[in-house]
Amino acid sequence: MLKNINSRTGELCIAAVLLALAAFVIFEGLRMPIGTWALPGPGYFPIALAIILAIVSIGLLFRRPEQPEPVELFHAKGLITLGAVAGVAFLFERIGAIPAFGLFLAALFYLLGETRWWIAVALGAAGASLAWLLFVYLLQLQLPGA
Amino acid sequence: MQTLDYLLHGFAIALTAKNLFYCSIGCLWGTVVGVLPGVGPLAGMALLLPLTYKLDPTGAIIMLAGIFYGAMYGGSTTSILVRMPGEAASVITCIDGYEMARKGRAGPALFLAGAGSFVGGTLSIIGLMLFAPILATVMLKVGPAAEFILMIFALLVVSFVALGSRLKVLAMIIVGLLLATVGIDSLTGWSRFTFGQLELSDGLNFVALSIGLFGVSEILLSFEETTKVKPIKPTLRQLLPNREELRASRGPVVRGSLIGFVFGIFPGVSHIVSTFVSYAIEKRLSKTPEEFGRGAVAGVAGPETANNATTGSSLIPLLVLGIPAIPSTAILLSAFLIHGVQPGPQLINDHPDVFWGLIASMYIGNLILVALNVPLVGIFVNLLRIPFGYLAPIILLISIIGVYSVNANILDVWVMLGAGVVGYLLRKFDYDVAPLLLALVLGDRIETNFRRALTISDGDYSIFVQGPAARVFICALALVVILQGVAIAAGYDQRTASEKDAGG
Repeated sequence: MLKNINSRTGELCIAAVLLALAAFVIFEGLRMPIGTWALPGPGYFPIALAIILAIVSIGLLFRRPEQPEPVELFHAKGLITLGAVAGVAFLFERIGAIPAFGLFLAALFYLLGETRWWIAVALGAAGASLAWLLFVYLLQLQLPGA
Repeated sequence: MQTLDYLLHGFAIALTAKNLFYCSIGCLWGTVVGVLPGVGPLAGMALLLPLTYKLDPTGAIIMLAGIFYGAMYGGSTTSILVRMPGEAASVITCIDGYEMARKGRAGPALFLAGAGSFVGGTLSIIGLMLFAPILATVMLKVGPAAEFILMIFALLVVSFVALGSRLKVLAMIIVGLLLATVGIDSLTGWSRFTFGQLELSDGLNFVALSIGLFGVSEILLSFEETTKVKPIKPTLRQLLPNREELRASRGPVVRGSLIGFVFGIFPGVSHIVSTFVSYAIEKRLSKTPEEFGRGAVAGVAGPETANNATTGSSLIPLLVLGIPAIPSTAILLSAFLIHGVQPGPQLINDHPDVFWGLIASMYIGNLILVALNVPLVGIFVNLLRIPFGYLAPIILLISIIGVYSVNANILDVWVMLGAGVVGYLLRKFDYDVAPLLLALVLGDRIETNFRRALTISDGDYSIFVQGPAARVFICALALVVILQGVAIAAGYDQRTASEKDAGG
C-alpha cells in the first residue's frame, strides 16, 4: 500500500491531468471541421468544452488549498483485485470465458478470502460452472469459448 | 377516468406470471444490494442489466425499477441493525433507528421504516401517474432550443446539489460532456476521438463507465474499511409497534411523503437531501426534540418515508423528459435505450405497455417489498456476515460479464477497469463522479439540440432565451436554489452524505 500521499499533491496531479486532457482535446479538435459561430461543426463543441476545462483546471491548480491531509492510496487487496480483473480481460478471449472466470475466482478467493488453496480452487470451479449455467445456458449470452 | 383505464391496462400487464416474477426478482435483488454496503442501487442495476437482454422491454424495465426502489427498503435494515447505511439515502436513519434497536425496539423500527417506505413509495407512484402524462403533453410542444436549456438546467442543478467543491463538480460535468463526444457525430457523420477503433464509433460504453466509476471504485474503497459488522438481532416477536409509536409516526409519514415527492423531481442527490430535510422538520415540529438522537420514532419514520417517496417522483424527469435525475435512473435510461425504447414525452403514446406496466408494477413491487423486508429481515441481515473477500470477486465477475455482454467487446472490460481506477482516485480526492455520469448521458442530446436550434434560427443565439419554456426552466432553477438553501438551513451536511454515497 502506498501511504501518506499529501492530499494537495494529489489534487494538483488531478488538476494537471485535466489540463493535459483539455490541451489534447483542443489539439485533436482543431483537426476536425469547427464550422462557424452560426453553424457549428463537429469540432466546435469539444473545443469549447476543452477551453472551459482548461480554465477550470487552472482554477483548481491555483485555488487556495484546504488543510493538507495524508491520503492512503491502493490497499494491497485493491491492487490484487485490479490485477485479477486485468488478468481475466487478457485471458478472456485466449483461453475462453469460463476457464478465465474459474482462475479469476480461485485466485481472488485465495488471496482476498484468505482460504486454503484447494478450497479456493473448488469454489472457483463451482463459481465458473454456476456462471456458465446462469449466463450461457439459461440466459444464452454469447461468451467466448463457451 | 382515462387514467384509471390505463392503470387497469397496466395491472393486466404487470400481473402476468412472468412480469410478477421479474418484479419479485428485482425487488429481492434490490433489497440485497440495499442491505449490502458497497453495492448500492446503481451497481445493483448495472449488474443485473445483462440478465435483461433476452427479456421484452416491459419485463426488463419492471425488473430494473424493482432494484431501484427495492434498494431504498433494504438500506434501512442495516442502518437500524448495524448503524451502517446500506445505501446513501439511509444515512440519517442510522441515528434514531440504531438507538431504537439498542433499546430493544428493533422490530418496531424496522416495521415503521417498512410501513413508511410503503406509504411514501405508493403516494409517489400516484403522483407519478397523475403528473407524468400532463407534463408529457406540455413537453411535446417544446423545441430543440428549450430542450437544450432544460438539459443545461439539469446539469446546473446537479452542480448546485452535488457533493464537494463547485469547481471540482464543474470539472466533472465538462469531462462527462467531453466523453460523450467520443464516436460518430450524429449530425455530420464525422468520427471524433475514435483513433481508428471501430468499437468506439458508437461512443463509450455507458454501462462499462458507470460500473467502473461507481462499482469497481467502491470495491477498491471498501478494502480500506476496517469496521467489523456486529448486527443487533431483532426480536421479531415484538415486531409490531405499540399504539404510542404508531401515533408518533403518522404525521412524519405524511410529511415525509410530501417532502420526498417534491425533492425527487429535481436532479442531483435529491433522495439524500430529502431525508435530511425530513429529519430536521420532524425535530423542529416535535414536542420532545431532545428524543432525537436517542431513538425517536419520527426520526426513523419521516426520513425513511421521504427517501422512498423520491423513487416515484425521480422517475418523472426520466420518463417524461428523458433526463435521469440521479445516477441510478441513468442506468434505467441506458436499459430503456438498449431495449429500443426512447424515454421522453412520446413514451406514454409510443410505449403505453412499458409506461403503464411499470407504474402498475411499482404498486405491486411496494407490496412485495413490505412482505420481503419486514418478516424476512433476519435472512437479509445474515448477508452481512459474508466476508467481503468472497463477496467482491462475485460482484466483479457479474460486472465483467455484464459489461462484456452489452457489445460482446473485451475493450469494454478494459474501459471498466480504467474507469474503476479513475473513479477511485477521484473519490479519494473528493471529486463526486455522479455529475460526470449524468453529463455523459445527456452530452449527446445537449450538443445535438444546441446545433439543431442554431440551424433552425439561422445562427441566432437569442433562440435559447426566447419562449415561455425557457423562462419556466429559469424559474425552476431559482426554485431549486431555494430548496437547496432550505436543505442547508435544515442541517443537511454534504460531507456526511458523501461518505456513504456509494452509488445512489
